Amino acid sequence: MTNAVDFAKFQNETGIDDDMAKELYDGFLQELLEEKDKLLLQLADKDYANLYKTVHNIKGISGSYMAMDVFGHSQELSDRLKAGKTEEIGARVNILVNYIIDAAGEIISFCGK
Amino acid sequence: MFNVYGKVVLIVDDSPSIRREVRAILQKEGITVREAGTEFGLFNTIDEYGEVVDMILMDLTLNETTGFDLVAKIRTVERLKSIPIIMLTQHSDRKNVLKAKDLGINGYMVKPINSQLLVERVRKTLEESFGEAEADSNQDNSDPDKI
Repeated sequence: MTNAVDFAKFQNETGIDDDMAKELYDGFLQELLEEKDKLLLQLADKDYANLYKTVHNIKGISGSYMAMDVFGHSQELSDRLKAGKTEEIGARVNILVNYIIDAAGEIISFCGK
Repeated sequence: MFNVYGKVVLIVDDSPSIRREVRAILQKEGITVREAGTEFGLFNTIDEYGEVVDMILMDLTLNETTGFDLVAKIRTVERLKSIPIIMLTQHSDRKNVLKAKDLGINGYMVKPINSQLLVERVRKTLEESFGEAEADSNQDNSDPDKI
């Protein structure tokens, strides 16, 4: 398993206990998976304006929840979309989706599901 | 240190994950947190708890509108004119910081959330707000024409 999510850093920085951290990560997981589904639909529709909003939100939540691979790639994708650069957008979205899936796996383990 | 126990903070953010995180961080300090994800939710919450919302944490990018638009609307409501507002956003560019200043926003914080900074900023903002209110109250009491 990779270290896609730094749970210890999140808990250290927020001072939140294990039970609350699991509850928060469970909510984060739900939102992250919903956003992932939106990404794919918006990509299929070439709806780049809303795709940018979704990527922007993913960047925000993944940064707060220390999902650093997702954060790093969504930041890069967000900058590209903001600048109107849509070449190879499908491949870039797919990479982000893979990072989300990796993070989701770790969160599921962390939450003990 | 200013006691924030029992103070009420409203977080306006379209991300449930961010709202829950902010709630968890501030609740540890004894702050009561209300949440809204939309403009409708914001004014609904203010109608419900309006008399006791002590400050607002506002995201800049919302689904249907912007935090700046909501702040402008809040500032037109007489009883909410002076409520302290801190922007909590991913947009750190100078233009937005200056716009926040023009709108009389009390603070500007960039995500990802740093919990220690968030708590410090909320505490300081509430202290300034309540300090001014107490000073006004003392001034009122010292005016013999108002007794």
